[in-house]
Amino acid sequence: MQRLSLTVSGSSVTGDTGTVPVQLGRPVELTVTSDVADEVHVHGVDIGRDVPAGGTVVIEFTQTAPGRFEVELENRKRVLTRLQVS
Amino acid sequence: MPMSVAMPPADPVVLAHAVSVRSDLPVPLLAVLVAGAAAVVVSFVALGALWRTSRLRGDEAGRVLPTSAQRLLDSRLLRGVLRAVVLVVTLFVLVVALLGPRESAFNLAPYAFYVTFWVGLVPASLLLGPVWRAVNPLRTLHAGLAYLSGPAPGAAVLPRLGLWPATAFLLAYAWVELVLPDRAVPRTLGVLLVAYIGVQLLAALWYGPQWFAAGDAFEAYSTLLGRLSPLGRRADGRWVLRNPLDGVDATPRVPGLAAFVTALVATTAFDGLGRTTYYQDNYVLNGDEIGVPTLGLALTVLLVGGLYAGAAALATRAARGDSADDSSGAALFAHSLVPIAAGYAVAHYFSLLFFEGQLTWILASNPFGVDGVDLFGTYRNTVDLTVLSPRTIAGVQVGAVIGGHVLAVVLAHDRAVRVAGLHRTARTAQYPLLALMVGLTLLALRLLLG
Repeated sequence: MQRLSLTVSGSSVTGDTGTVPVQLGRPVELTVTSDVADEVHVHGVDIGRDVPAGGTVVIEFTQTAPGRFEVELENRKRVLTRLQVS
Repeated sequence: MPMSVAMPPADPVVLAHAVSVRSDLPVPLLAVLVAGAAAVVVSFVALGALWRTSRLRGDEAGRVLPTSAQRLLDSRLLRGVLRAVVLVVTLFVLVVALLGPRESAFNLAPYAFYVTFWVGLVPASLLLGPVWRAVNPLRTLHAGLAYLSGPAPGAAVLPRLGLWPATAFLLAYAWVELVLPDRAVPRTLGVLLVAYIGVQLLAALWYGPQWFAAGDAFEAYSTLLGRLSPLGRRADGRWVLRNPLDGVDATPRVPGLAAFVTALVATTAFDGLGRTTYYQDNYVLNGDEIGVPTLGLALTVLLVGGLYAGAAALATRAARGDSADDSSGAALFAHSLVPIAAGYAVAHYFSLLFFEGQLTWILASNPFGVDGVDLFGTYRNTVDLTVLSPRTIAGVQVGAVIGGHVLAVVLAHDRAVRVAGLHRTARTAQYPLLALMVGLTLLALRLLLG
């Protein structure tokens, strides 16, 4: 299990930002803490989970296709990180 | 193989704005940038040496198709059936948007509109020509209404408007697609579509059926990209197979043509810009979801349009000399931007058609979200991400951007030697456009792949 975490605070994003290598087929546990309410969307596996303002959401997924996939705050179109799956 | 899961497609908000699957470049970005710029410059130099007089013949060119093919393409029955099918499908999507599932994850309308229609219009037009003009449901509806309402009072004014109305509607569409946060909410989309249809029909009742070519952004888009189709109609009305460059060369020089094409290029570029780390870190999440991207979109459109107008004006001044051609510079070379707009559209959106486009068909299996309904047995499928490899995507993206720019250089060169007559003048004339082309190539590749 690969653990990733991201924190959205004000206009900045901290944690595993940028481009993160992820192994194809290996489970990932992603924790996102956000001070704004939005929907965290993991592209590729195409999973979306709401996160409340000031709350945390944990998403578990396994990427099953190679490529570079974004994790973003869907409604605000804020790219939080990119998963380089190979 | 699509994976079967227990739930229907989980989540996504529709993303015609954002390529959700990014490519892997098999080579460093810098190498692609150098290759792109070199391809444009080398084409320019080679054209100067080898393409000394104008070779394009516009709508005089082409190899006439056999009579049977002519009959089929002009068949009123075929066209009538296609128009009826498209009208029914359009109304169906509209009803699903307004009355189907409330969440975009389960409603086919956003996928059908932003992906299957808007993105699918690109390959359909590039292969077959101005397809949307042939089947446009707005034209079908208008034909019925006009029968009741009589002659159009504003028809005489329309030619002066050129493509300016379509440019305005294109920018409005781009704003919805790229800025409006609720763009994929089915009810919002349904209301927007009803409003668009209403405004278009009213305008067409005033200006006559020619309005759609001038004012329906989707028809204008399809018609312009369709200029690159190998299938076309010659000036004598016959169907021909022709060099796509001849089709583009024959683009009518109407007012607003340059504005429409540069708006296409700029809106796609802004979509790419919005995904860059620079934009993300500085302009997203600062408490403003509409004003900032609206301003960014407007500035990008003005910048691309302004740079093009400037370069074209310089080019025309140099090319024209004492030539009698009185077209303004922007109109003279605007057609050369068509392959660039097409290249950007392909590069930017084609993977979307293959991936998110699957959802239209998956959701069509149960359009109203009724428990237990699964018409085609596909409702539980998820998007199959293996239909395109990351390298295929990267290859198509790079090829489309560079190919579009190289074709643009060829088109501009041919137009310049035709107008200038004198070879040396023609070359000098193109330096400003060449500089713009190289700049745009680098920018497009950087935005797309960076």
